[in-house]
Order: sequence, then structure tokens, then C-alpha cells
Amino acid sequence: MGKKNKIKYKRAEVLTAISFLLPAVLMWIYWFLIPAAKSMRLSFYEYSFITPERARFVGLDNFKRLFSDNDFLKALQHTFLMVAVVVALIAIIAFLIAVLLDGKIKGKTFFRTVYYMPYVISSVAVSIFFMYFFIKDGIGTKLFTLFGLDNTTWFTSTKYALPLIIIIYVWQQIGFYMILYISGLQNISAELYEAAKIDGANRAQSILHITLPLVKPTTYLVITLGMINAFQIFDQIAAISKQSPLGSPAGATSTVVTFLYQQSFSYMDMGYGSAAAMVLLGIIFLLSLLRTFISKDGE
Amino acid sequence: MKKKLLKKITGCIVCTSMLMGLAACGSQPEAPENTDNAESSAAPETETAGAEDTEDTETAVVEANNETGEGVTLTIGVWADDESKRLEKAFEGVEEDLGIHIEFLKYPSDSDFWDNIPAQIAAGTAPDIISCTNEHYLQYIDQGLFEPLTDYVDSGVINLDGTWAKAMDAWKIDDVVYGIPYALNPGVFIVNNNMWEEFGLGDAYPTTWDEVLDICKKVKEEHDMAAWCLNIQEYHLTNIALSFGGGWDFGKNIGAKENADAIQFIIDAYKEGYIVTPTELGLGGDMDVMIQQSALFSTGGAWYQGGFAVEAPDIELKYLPIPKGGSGNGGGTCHSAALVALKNSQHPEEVAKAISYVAEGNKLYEAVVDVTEVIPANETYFDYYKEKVPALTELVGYLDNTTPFSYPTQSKKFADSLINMMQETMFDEGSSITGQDIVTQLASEYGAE
Amino acid sequence: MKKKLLTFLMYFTLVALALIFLLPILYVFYNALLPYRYVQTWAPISVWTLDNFKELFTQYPILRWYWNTFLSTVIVVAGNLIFPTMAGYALAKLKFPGKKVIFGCLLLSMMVPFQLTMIQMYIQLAKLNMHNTIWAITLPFLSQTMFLFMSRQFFFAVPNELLEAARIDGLSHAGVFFRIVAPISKPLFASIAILNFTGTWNSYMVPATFINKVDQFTLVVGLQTVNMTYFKKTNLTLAGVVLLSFPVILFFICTQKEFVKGAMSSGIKA
Repeated sequence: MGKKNKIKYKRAEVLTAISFLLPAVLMWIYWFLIPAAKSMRLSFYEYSFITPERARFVGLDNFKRLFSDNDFLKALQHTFLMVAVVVALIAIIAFLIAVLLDGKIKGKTFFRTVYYMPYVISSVAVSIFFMYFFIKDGIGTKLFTLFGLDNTTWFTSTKYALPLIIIIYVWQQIGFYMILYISGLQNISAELYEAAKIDGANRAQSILHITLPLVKPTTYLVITLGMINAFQIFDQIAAISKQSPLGSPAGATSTVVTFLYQQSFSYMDMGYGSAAAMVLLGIIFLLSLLRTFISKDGE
Repeated sequence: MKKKLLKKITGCIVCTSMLMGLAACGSQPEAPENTDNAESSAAPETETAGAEDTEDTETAVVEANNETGEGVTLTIGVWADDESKRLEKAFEGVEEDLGIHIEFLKYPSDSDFWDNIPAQIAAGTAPDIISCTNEHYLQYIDQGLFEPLTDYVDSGVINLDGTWAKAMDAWKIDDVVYGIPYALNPGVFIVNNNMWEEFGLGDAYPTTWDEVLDICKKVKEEHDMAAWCLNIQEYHLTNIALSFGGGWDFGKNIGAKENADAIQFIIDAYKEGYIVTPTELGLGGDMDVMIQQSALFSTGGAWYQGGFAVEAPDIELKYLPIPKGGSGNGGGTCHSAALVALKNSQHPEEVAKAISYVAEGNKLYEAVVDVTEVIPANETYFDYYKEKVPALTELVGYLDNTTPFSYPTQSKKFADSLINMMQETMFDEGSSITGQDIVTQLASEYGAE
Repeated sequence: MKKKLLTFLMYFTLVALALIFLLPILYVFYNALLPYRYVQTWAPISVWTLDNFKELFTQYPILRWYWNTFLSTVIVVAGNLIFPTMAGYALAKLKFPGKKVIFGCLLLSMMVPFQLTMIQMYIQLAKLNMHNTIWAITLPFLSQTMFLFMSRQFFFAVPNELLEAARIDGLSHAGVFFRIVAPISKPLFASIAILNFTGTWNSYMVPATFINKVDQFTLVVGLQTVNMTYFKKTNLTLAGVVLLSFPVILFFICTQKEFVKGAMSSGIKA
């Protein structure tokens, strides 16, 4: 900030940049910024869309209420726990799969397609399998009892419901991040690997020293998108909750987004729901500030 | 060649998006306003949607035509298949006889419907008429979502003669009529008679919950299965609370001892292994469990008949009154669907006319019977029902013992809290929460004077 | 010997993973073949049936829903292949003031849950009288920030020497993008197409909120309406899922061929 900006901008380049950005930015303003700003404004109101004439400015009351609301604090906790676990799992697994598929293997199309398929199938359908699989005495449950877990129906257990959501989510989303990695890996030329081989590097070494550094922009993308998406997990939770309240059993799978949805839509407390989203946003913003502070790249 | 085309397309789109951006800046960004003027700002639509198929433009024109009388289009919001079929049938003649065009707006599910309605009210696109049950209606009435129909009833535009009194009471709150009830569904205790006979459980069906418990015990011992399917939902829980002589009474009675007893009874029965919940089987609802014969009985309603007729016609069901519990005299919920006019309709007069047309003719009640096999809310059609649906004749007799749901105003929140606490108590083996704890906490949060 | 063992291990892992990914899907397909009362149980082959599919096709306007889904998906994907990639290129490779601020805003905006903005977006659409039309589910989604971000990250990998060489050859900045960079960025366009196709094709909340007319429904939403008030026909839903997934899988198989190794490096040589 203190530094003098020494870059000289060229007129033609700036004009091209503006014309390239304009459609995207205008659409972003119209379809995102304006609606978002209107919604966020509501976090300072007691507000229902049915009776806007009864709207009442309440200042920071919604926020104060949030921080003494156990359901919200629980949801916040679940959200961060899930994001941490999910992002780590996804980044590692997706990278490894992409690397496996990057080599010379037979049936590449087949494997790619199969690994992508879970992302295609709707959460509702997927949840039907997982609910059956992780029932008491079910195959999945039995499998996990080998690791010392209880033989119980996972999605009715306040202890196991959240891990179940994580399993479903990771299983379903891997395909998405695999695609990002596959497309990122295409940029690394095969010659680099050849050269490394001549230098006597084995496969693991060349992954560590060539692939990893070169897919850094993709990894940045995967981790950032992974976080953004994981903060918004909703479908899988809704599918597991079925006809029970969102976040069943007993709120064990609630997240900020399910909380927001319940407050804004089911209970028609729009202002309170918006405030919840604002808090989440504030926390993410602080975190990303912190992140840029620690490491200054992103490229 | 290709690139030129690409450039042209891009150019066009850039222009339109800029236009749209300008339009956005022009319109005031203040949201909290009554957006009745949605129709008047239809101008930008012509440039953006210019080449749309004619169908849409046609409806847009019809909707913009604000003159009363001829050429009015009313929209009716529906979700499930069965309900939309019966309303479609009920409103069939309206177009011919009244010159009012009826259009159905369909929602994928009831939760989608209720979740979207506030947005649609704000946007001025909500349906004019909906069908609503007396379960969670209070929270919408409290918000002012439903248009009072009292004036039309008093002036005789809508004739309510013959409407079953208890349903009418449920829809009249503080002397204001909010809906025209047209269907009734007493809560019942449903037994799979095939299994009953196979298990050799005798001729006498249970009339009290203690008898139910004895049967559960027997089935558990002899067949190692939970006989009672309980879907942990407000509907079923309320039925049991009422049968114990409890109930919520709009929040005034939540903390009652009868409610505590009913809930404690459920908790105990579950811990004994007499109850199976649909979620534990990985199924969606109680009807799935019953169709798969994974339980002997469940609480439910007349809707079982239709489901079983299609999916499991070989299973014979017995529809019994909800068993009596504690000092209660039995009797479950009185579930009543009604036609409701939503606020901010462009054509309130026509809405009243259309409702009175279907309520006075025989169309509505006959559709209720013919399409969904549910009791019509008009006493004069009770006999028609008995004649058309012989399997469910007893249900009419159960009506007198029923009570409306009477959830507190914050009904959804109340229901979610109740369910969450039940799940916590039942599914967490270490839990020591009692029925009394649950009702006490609910009463402190949702109780009313 | 060691190499053989390694190859074996590699295929073993691939197949094991494939099973983990495939089994649940096969289970879904299996349930789609069952009558309602057998759903979620192990049913004998004798009761397997195609009736669920027959019922869907005869009772509901499936083909109309397919068409709506297809049309809206094509429009959205086309938009996202153009706008976000151009913007992403500008953010990655062109120098102009305010670049970091713009990117920061866009990035932050992705973190806002869609559920928060949905209602206001709907109100805006209703003002334009676009609700219940295909425009409601396409126009707002023509330029998705996620793909902008993806493009930006991808274009970082394009060597600057390549761009400079093209500039020296007399191409404008726009020319460099359209003639040099775009042709060698097939993996990017392929992944945007795949991900966006899947996302739009399967999206539920948007069409369920913005469209309430049966003949304008997309397939996902339409298939949700096959239920009765008090019981969900799981087997029909699952049969619907099968119908829903096939086009996406086909599209994936066709498009993934564009992941060509070394596209970028061949570009440098040219």
C-alpha cells in the first residue's frame, strides 16, 4: 500500500480489459450485488416478506440474539468442523485420483466417467443408498465397526449423523474437484517428467517435485472453491433430514445455511436469517484476510 | 467466420446486459415495499424477452388486463398430485359459467410451497387461491397472509350451510373466517389386518394404549419385531397427546400433565423396543413402513386407503379410533383442508365468486370423495361418502371425538423443537430426558396465556 | 518385477475406487426397477419391472421437461463459456487498475449463500415479468463467478512469452485471446462445460423457486411433483434419477476427450 505504484497501464490493454470484464461484472452487479445488498440490509430489521409494512428497524438486535442462540452457535461449530474435514479430504483424494488417471492407463475414459458419476446423481437418490448402507446392522455400519465404531443407525444418531453427511458429501463432490485437477494437469508437459526420469527421480519424487509445484494455481482453486462450497453444504443435509426438520436428528447436522434457511423460510424471520449469513460472511472475510496476510500469493 | 459471429453475439449480449444494468440503477433499490406494481413495470420485458414463444406473452397480456369481470385469470397454488387433481376437477366449470379463467401453479412439495409463498407475495406473483390445512395455518394467519372472507360469508356471497361445525370453528378465528373447509380427515389408528390375523392376535382390537402395549410385547416376544410404527412428526405426536386427553390449545395447554404422560409413554415404549421409526429403516414415512409390512400398526389418516389401493392392494387395513390413553377419552386430530384466499390478490371479488361457486355446487365435495376418498367437510355429503367409499365408512363416526391441531402461533418452530427433543430423547441412549422435561421446556418457549 | 507390482497396485486402486463410486449408483438403478413396496429391500428378480419408467412417461410430460432442461442448460453453458472466461483472462493476464479489488469482491461474493439472495433475485425477475419462463432460470446464471475464478487460475499457466510473441506479430489484446489463448485452452472450456452442464441440469432450488407452471418445469423439479401429499413414491423418484442422469453422463463421456495432454506446450511451439 505504501509503495508507489510503478506499473504503467497501456490504454489499449486497459480498454480490452474493461470490455472483457464488463459483461461479467454488469451481470454480477445486477444478479448478485443488488439482491445481496437488499437481503443483507434486512439483517437490521425485523422483517417478513408477507407484511413488509410491519418491518421494524432493530439495529443490531438480530446479531445480539444470534450470539446467545445455542442453535446458531451449534450450527456455526458444525459448519467449521465440516469445512475443515471436507476440504482436506477432498483436496488430497481428488489430487491423487487425478494423478493416477494422468498416467498411461487403459480404460481412462471409463474410470474418469465412473469417478465423476456421483457428482451427477442427485443427493436425494444418493442419500437413499447411504441411509440403507449405514442402518443398524447395515453393510457400511458393520464395516466401520471393524474400526471400533458403534453398530447403530448413523443418521438417527446424534454422534454419527455429521460424519455420515461428510462421507456423502466427499463421495459426491470428489468428481468435481477431480475435473479441476485433471484440467490443471494438462498444462504440465510430459517432457518435464521425462527429464526427471533421466535424472533418476522415481514416480513419488516427480509428483512431489514437479506435479505439486506446477499445479499450485489449481490447488489454490480447489482449496478455495472447496471451502466456499463446503460452507454452503445444504442438499445432502436436506436429503438426510427427509420429512424431519432440517438438521435432524436433534440439530446434529445443522449448519449456518440450514439455520439461515429455517429462520428465513420456515419461520419467516427474514432479518434473523440474514443476520446469520452476515456473521458467517464476516468470519470468512476475516479468515481470508488472515490467509492473505500469512501467504501473499494466490497465483 | 466463427469469430465474427462470436463477436457479434458478444456485442449484442454486452448491450443487453448494459441495458439491464441501467434498468437496475433506475429502479429504486429499496426492497421493503409493497410490490403491487409488479405488473406496471412490464416495459423492460419486451426488449429482453422479445422473441419468446407466444404462449408466455399471451399469459402476460391476460394478466396485465386488469378489468374486472370477463377475462380475469385466477391462479390456484397446489403441490401434490392427488390434491391438484381434485382441485382441477372441482374448478372445472368455473371458466364456462363465470367466465373466470383458472390457472394452476404447481409446487414440487408443500415445503417448497410454503417456503416460496413469502417471496411471491412480495413479488406480486403469489396464487390467488390455495388449499391449506388447519395444521400450520396460525402462523400465516398471524402474518396476515390469508385474506379474511367474513364479508363474503356475511353478505351471502359464500354460502356455508351444511359445513361441518367443528371444521368451521377451526377456520374461524376471533370471529374472522379465513378459509372455507372442504375436506376432513380424522386421525385414526391403522392396523395391518393380514399381519394381525397371521400373528393370531384375536378378535378384539385395542381400544386403549395399554392394550396396544400388550400386543407390542407379544409381537416382540414371538416375532422379534417392533409392532408400532411411529413417525416422529408433529401430526402423529399430536394425535397421541390428544388421545391422552392433552393437546396444545394454541399454546395454552402445552405444559399439561396429559401431554407429559403421552410423551413419556412414547419414550418408554421406544426404549422397550416396541416402536420402529421410518428413519431407522431408511424410509421416508410411516406409510412406507406399513406398505412394506415392517410394522403392524401406525397412526395415520384416510390417505392410507389410496396409497395401499395402488401399491399394496392385497393388504387389508383396519381403521380404528386412536386408542385411549391415561384418563383421556381417545379421539385424535381433526385435520381439515380449506380453500383460502391469499392477500394482495388482484381480483378479490372474483376469488370470492369462484370459491362460492365450487362450495355451493356439488363439484368440490364430490371431487374430494371421488378423487381422494376423503370425507367432504359438508354434512350433506357424508352419505355420499359412505356410499362411495364403503371401506372407510367408520371414519365419519370418529369425527365427533376429534380435536383440531391447535398448535401455538409459531407452529413450525414449535413442531421442529418438539421433534428435535423427541429425537434427542429417543435416539440418544444415554438420555434421561422425561416427557415432563419436554413439555415444560416447550411451554416456556411457546406457551401462551 | 517391481514395475509390474506397481502397475498391479495402480489398477487395483483404480478398480477398488471405481467400486466405491459405482455401488451406490447401481443401488439407485436397482431400486428404480422395483415396485414401491419392495424399495430398500432385497427383492427377487421376478418382481423387477420397468413399470416405473412407463408410469413416468405416460402420466407426466417428461419429454417436455427434458426439452426445457436441455434448452436452459445449453443457454447457460454457452454463456458461461464466454463471459467468465473473458473476464478471467483479463484478471489473469491484462494489466489495468483496480484488478485486485475487483477480484477480491468477486471472490468474497461467492461465499454468500445462494439461499440469502434467492428471494430478492426472484422479486427482480418478477418485476421483469420473467418468472415462470425459461429466462428466469437462465439469464441470472449466464456468468457464474466460480467459472471466472477457474478461468483466472487456468490462464495463469499460459506462458507470457506466448502472448508477447503474438503481440509482436501484430495481434490486438482481444486477438491474442480469441486466436491464440482460446484455441489452446480446451481443457478449461471442457471442464467449464462439464461442470456447468451438470450443475445446471441438476439444479433444483432455482427452478423450483422461479417456475410454477407445469409445462415450464425442468426435469428435476417435475420429477419431484410425482409424489402424493402423504407419501413419496421413492421408486418413481429413483426411476426419474436414472432418466435424469443419462444425458449428463453421455455429455461427460463426449466432452472429457478434450482433456488433451500438453495442449499448452504445443501452443508455445506453434
